[in-house]
Amino acid sequence: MFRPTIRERRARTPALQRATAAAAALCLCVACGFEPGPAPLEFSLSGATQSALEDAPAVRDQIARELTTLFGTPSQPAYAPHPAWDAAGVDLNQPDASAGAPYPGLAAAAETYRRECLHCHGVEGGGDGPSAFGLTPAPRDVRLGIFKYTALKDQSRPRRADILHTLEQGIAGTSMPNFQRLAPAVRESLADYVRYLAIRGEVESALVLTWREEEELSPEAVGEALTFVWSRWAKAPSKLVVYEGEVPAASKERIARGDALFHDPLKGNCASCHGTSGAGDGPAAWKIGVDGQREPAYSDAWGRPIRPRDLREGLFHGGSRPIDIYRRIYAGIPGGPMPALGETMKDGEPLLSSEEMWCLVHYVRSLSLREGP
Amino acid sequence: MSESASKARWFSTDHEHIGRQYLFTSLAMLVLGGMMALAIRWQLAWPWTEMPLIGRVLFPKTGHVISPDFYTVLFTMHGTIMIFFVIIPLLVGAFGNLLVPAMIGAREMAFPRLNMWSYWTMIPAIACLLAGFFVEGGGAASGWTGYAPLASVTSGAQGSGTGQTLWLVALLMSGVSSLLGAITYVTTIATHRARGMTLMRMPLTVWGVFTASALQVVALPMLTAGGLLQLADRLLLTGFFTPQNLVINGVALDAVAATGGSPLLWQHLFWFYSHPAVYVMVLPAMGIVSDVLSVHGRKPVFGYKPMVWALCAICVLGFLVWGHHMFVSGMSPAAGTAFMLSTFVIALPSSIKTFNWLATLHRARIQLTASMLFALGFVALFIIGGLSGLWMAATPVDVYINNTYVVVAHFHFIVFGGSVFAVFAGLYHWYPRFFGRALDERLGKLHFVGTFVLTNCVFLMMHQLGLAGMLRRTADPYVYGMFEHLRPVNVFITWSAIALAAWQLVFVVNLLKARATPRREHGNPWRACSLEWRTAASAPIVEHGPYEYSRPDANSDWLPQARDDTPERVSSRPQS
Amino acid sequence: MRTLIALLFGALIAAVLWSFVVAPGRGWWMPASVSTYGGDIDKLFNTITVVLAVAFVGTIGGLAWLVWRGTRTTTVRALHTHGNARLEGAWTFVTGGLLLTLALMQLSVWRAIQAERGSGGKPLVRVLAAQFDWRFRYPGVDGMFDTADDFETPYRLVVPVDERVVIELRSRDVIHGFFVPALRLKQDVLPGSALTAWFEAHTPGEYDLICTQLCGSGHYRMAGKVQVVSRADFDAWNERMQREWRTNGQERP
Repeated sequence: MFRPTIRERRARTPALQRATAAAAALCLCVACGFEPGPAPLEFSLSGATQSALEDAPAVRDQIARELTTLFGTPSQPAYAPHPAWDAAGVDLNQPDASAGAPYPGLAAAAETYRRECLHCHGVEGGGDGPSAFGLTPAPRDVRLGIFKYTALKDQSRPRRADILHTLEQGIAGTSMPNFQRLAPAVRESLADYVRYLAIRGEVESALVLTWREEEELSPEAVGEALTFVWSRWAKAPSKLVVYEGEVPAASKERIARGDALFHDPLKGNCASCHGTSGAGDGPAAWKIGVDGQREPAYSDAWGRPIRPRDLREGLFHGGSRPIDIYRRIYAGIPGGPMPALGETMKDGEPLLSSEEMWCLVHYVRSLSLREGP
Repeated sequence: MSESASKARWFSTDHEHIGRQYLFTSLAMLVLGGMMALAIRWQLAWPWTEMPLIGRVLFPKTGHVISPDFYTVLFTMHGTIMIFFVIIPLLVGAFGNLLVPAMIGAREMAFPRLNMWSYWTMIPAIACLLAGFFVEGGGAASGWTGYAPLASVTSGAQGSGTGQTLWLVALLMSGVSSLLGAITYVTTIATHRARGMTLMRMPLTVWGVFTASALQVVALPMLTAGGLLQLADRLLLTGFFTPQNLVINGVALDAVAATGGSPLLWQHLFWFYSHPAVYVMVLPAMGIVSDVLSVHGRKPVFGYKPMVWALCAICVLGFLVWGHHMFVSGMSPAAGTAFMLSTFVIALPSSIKTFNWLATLHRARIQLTASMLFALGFVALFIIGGLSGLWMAATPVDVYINNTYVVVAHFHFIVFGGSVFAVFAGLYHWYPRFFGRALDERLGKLHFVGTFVLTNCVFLMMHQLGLAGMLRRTADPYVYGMFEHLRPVNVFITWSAIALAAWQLVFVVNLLKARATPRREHGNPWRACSLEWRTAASAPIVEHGPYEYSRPDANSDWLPQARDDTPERVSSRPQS
Repeated sequence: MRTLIALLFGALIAAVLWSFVVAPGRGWWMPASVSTYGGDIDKLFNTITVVLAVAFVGTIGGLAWLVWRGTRTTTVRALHTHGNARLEGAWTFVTGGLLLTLALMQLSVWRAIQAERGSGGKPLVRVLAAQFDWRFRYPGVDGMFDTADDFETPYRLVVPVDERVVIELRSRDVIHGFFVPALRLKQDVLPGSALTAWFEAHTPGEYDLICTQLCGSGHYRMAGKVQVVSRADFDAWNERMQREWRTNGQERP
């Protein structure tokens, strides 16, 4: 018999076998019905609040407590009953779902937000999630209440429909995708949760401001802050930029006229920022920084440098429909330097007529299309 | 220990020492890469839930749930580590150093210093790769394939910044490391063989390392060139792989870098090396398994010459099939046809090898040792992995299969079921030769049974996942409603993977147990013919092929290759 | 041990066969094909799968049998043979012939599904892949791309049924993969090139569109839909979208 010499002197190892069997049995027991979840989330105060109240930790804690009382936690998000909300006319915790499907509610929306949005937008909607690093543009920090791409004028807070529109269309040219794979009712609840986070963020900074001014946080002051914040949201539905009838056709004449308006410093004056070729290299938008490098002259409401859109790319963040660009020209972009030309008056007359704005729209669109100049 | 002695110990030019350094470094990396695999599996079974251990540390604010970009880093690092820092160094670096000189009767390597540097360039490569985890933006996140422009443009992804640069540097250094080793092996095998050791008397393990090294010598410069070009694209803002008119992550590239290049160019350069690299990962494994089957089957390898020619054929054809990774890449359809034909052709030598292994076992006297079990496991799993390759070779079918989990199943059967099983077979077989200590056979068999069963539990059902369309590199397949019903399968696979990883503790126990036993002379425990088991100090004179088992004209059932180690002397030892 | 090994190999064969036999019934299989060439691809897949199954059962079964036989204690000494040239020739020839046959079987289908590459055929729609969205641009009233009446829509690619649909795939950032399992269509979207692909869906319905080429951290969520509708519905939808782009967007805010 030829047998390997190593085999002979190995004794049995019953202890080890028993241990293995026990481990296997344990694994089986654990495997049945094992359903891990996430650790519970918590809202933190924003960086701005923390630095503003650096030497007043007691106030910081008080504001954090106040916010929890008013808005709950990510696992139990709810607007606490308050007279300020009664002005809304609807129960903010249960707005009607227009699609007729059962409305998931804010808690379910928070779970959707956790899966779909949190990695970029962060727990509080601060645009500071772990995956936000390096994204240009950075994910929206909704806590300021400013939403850049809406159909509204006067730098208004968005309607639910505006947030929904962004969820349905995404933001072209950025990492913000569309969410059409979620059911309409789920999208609606998600829009409501985004609004909830925005309002919560606005209340947070309002409370800090109130404390700065009054050195205390009385229930009345809190109520005033809530009323103030909500008043801005309540106005949104009346701010829609509407254009009746069909969009004027993109004729050669209109494009040529748009070209002239685009470059006319007394009319559109678009070239001053967007550049003569629309490349976003206009002199007004750029300055020479301390290091001698060219850098953007403007920054947005979040303190980030803003470059004018290179219109030749054809990537329009607010949508590429003619009406989207019309609204951008008419109402500007909240939180950024893009002016609201439709609202600008000159010598008691509107600076641009509606027809002139359509000419600009067609010229701007033509820059990325074949029949462009 | 004095300073010079410690220096001699770390920077030894002794090939066996270098082999052991390679062995333990790659085994440590195997553990690391395996942990990453478990993290990946966790995410696929229970996406967006608290990840054990790392979730709490890395993602304290977002519910201890890993982020999607960290997931991409995980699978990028898993692939890179397993290929470049586990399988290739294990098979070529460790087994090559420990076996090749001994098997061909060479006292030392042709270039001992080059050989030492081969190991010592791998260490900074590993350091660079892992450093990626600690830089801003995190590690490389564009997959182990590093496709441009995702990888070549710094704004492409979160990890496309410093992390990707470090990854490329690591890749280049590991390439240099492999190249130094490969040159050493090719030269050693070409010039340092003992008297009488003709090429056709070399054990197949040596042939495996030889062909793998030849592949590396020829193909690696291409990857190095590609890597340097991508590094230039990133650091010098050249545009080899960046076409015109791109806007990546808000950055218009025409304004900031040279453009006008081609993303397909990177794929060609990358796969021109990395497809042969697949064979680098399997040729030595084939050699090891051939040897183990023969020794423990007490029977000569069936069709030694066809086996050698098949290795050489794979080596040559390996250069002609890289395009089969690119059937849907946008490459010309005519090129697709050509690469399909060459891919079907390369299936032939692999099947010849399989038939020869089976024929080797025909009427053998099989000793079911742990080593033999792993070798048999290799053959079985290699068959599965090889067969599923045919789906991918057929262009119209690959259109569906490409980038799904079928591909993941396929290459894990080859690389885990194949290469890793061969590594275990080799370790159980040669451990007494390497360390003067024997591994426990009982534990070894226990190790095999669990590993074999669990490997199939982990990878088999991935075929079905892929056929259902489940894509690779997804952090959450259930984004698609059509994959929701695959959740139980993924949960099963994840539990199996956890069990598979846990089961490797048996091997660790075995290693520790062997370490606790005193070192002693084991002689030639398997009574193998080849030279590495020789104990005589004199220079061998080779008279036979490596597989003279069960010769009817000999007293013993084996005949050593070299003259001065006669079977009579050895068989006079006490037998069981 | 000998019995255990035989059992292990037997179980392996059983497990593989089981997993493939039950898979279609449980949806662990390719979804039903709805494109004209999908059936051809499935046929090729099935042919290869049958060959694989035979080869698999044959080799693993053979392996198990050889091991069972080789571990008999009655064997005193193994057969001493270094090979058999005729046998080697035979299996090389047979396997080679089989592989060549399989390879040649693929050619016509491969040619058919790649027919639109470089043909200059007019695409119905331009697919714009971007991190991490699919957008679809239709040529509008004039049937020409890059004109003012083009309209664009995310997520949902609407195409008519029973018609050869040519799509043009473009990306402005990184490589994406356009994969519709039900159509058996996959084509990488290569930045810098406008690749064309085609399909003809024969069943109306809504099918998943998947990005299969790693495109960044949002790769996993880059989902879309292909909606196959009747010609009349397609025209109506087309008309509605054109109207929406011509008007003030009251249908959408």
